[in-house]
Amino acid sequence: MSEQLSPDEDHLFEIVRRRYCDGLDSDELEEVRKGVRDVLKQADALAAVKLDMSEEPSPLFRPHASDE
Amino acid sequence: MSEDLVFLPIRDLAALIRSRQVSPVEVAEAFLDRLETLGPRYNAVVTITRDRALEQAKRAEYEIAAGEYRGLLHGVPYGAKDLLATSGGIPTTWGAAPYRDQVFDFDATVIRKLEEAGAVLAAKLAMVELAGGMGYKHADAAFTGPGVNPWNTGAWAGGSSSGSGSAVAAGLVPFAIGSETWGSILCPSAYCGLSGMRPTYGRVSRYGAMALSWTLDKLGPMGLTADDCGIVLEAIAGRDPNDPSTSERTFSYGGEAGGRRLKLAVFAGASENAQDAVRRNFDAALTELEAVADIEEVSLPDYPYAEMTSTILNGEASSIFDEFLAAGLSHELRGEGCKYNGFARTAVLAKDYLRALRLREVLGREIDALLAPYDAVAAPSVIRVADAVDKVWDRDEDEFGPDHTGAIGNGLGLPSISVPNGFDDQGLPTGIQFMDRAYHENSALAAANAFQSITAWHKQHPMVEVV
Repeated sequence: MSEQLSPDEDHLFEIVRRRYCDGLDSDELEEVRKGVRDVLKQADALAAVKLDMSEEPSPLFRPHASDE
Repeated sequence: MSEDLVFLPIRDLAALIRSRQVSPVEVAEAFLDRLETLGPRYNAVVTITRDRALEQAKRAEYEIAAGEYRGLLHGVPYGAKDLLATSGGIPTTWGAAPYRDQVFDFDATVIRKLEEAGAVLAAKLAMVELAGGMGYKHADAAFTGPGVNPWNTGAWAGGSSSGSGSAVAAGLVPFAIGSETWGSILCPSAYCGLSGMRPTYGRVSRYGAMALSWTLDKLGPMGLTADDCGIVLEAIAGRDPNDPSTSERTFSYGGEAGGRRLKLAVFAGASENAQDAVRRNFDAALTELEAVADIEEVSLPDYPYAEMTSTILNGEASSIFDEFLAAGLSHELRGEGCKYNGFARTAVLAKDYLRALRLREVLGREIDALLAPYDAVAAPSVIRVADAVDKVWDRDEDEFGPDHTGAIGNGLGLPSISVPNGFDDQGLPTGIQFMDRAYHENSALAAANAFQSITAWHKQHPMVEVV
């Protein structure tokens, strides 16, 4: 018996199921659902840490200029 | 040749080659023969690169005879994890059936740099399919079969650099190149009783390597000793215009020389979740290290380290493998869980991925300040010994809890080296890792070298009978 899904989990799982999960049996779908739940739990843990707006990710983007 | 050349550290093998007591061709043929006869026993090898190896070995022999010695790797064979591109029609399979015929027309930068150092590519080595990027549930998740541990053929070699671990441990190659996104060098190194180093992110070019996570992937050496790792790392490190993430900082290996008393940190509770043998051997190692180091316990600030690194990995891998998943190719993978475990990570939201990247900057500063007073932090390399090769891992039955040290080290791009520190009751190796601040590989290597100067675990090798 799986845990009760939150509405967010339910909706995200439905998107994942519709996009990728053709042909999976019920046990495999349950594994995917647990994976979605883990993703959201991880997001909740990150959201619990206060970050100032000035905390930026390390920049990956470099503007391109062919004459540089 | 003979068996005498097997299990020699690089310096010793190099001395024989440089003094022309053995020829590079003789050495290459010996290891090629071992790869052919013993490789299948461990599912360690994807492709033996005999023609390329002998061509490189003959060139090395000619150059050394002409007095053009390139350095310690000149004429020394090695194996590369099969996610590194190789030219000349040599397949690069990424360990996965859908890519078993994949061929590139160029060499990965690491392969090129090792060729420039005179090393001899003897084999492309087995790996967990797609470097474990699809979430494997058991060891049998490569089209070459499960990685088998030379210490106990009923146990897993570790992953995802399985063949790199088993091939070095069984004496099929003197050293190997592995890759680590989260644990894939340190795990097989610990399980197979090797020395293996995860360099700082950006220290070694990823050009030509399969991508699993652009900001987590690292390539590094696996060998018999910490000294071997330092020698190989110096050869493969450096800025590469083809990989914008590579650092301008140069790396020159500091060597084995010790003498200075070290200052080591241990995270509070570092081994409390570990298997008994791992905890016992870690505690014993700390006692031994007291001969060469002052050791202090430090407390980790309370942050969601594993969640941060998982979110980064999930976000990047879901983009990298988007077309692969959408095309249904995961169903062609061998590992059962690999067929569907990659789907859930596509649910990571952009805001959460970016939050993980922002948190990485904050934690990078905090952990750097925490580690600054120390030469390295010591921790168990992996908190368990190798599982049985047929064990199925259940996400609901994780008895050991999160891997904080691995999450910190990989999430923040910090270097770490695993070296052997004992065995469990079944004869399976355990490892201790020395992790340090970014770009401080020499400190971690100094700690590992110091440990190996007072212990002999790295001199023990599995009984490998040539039938």
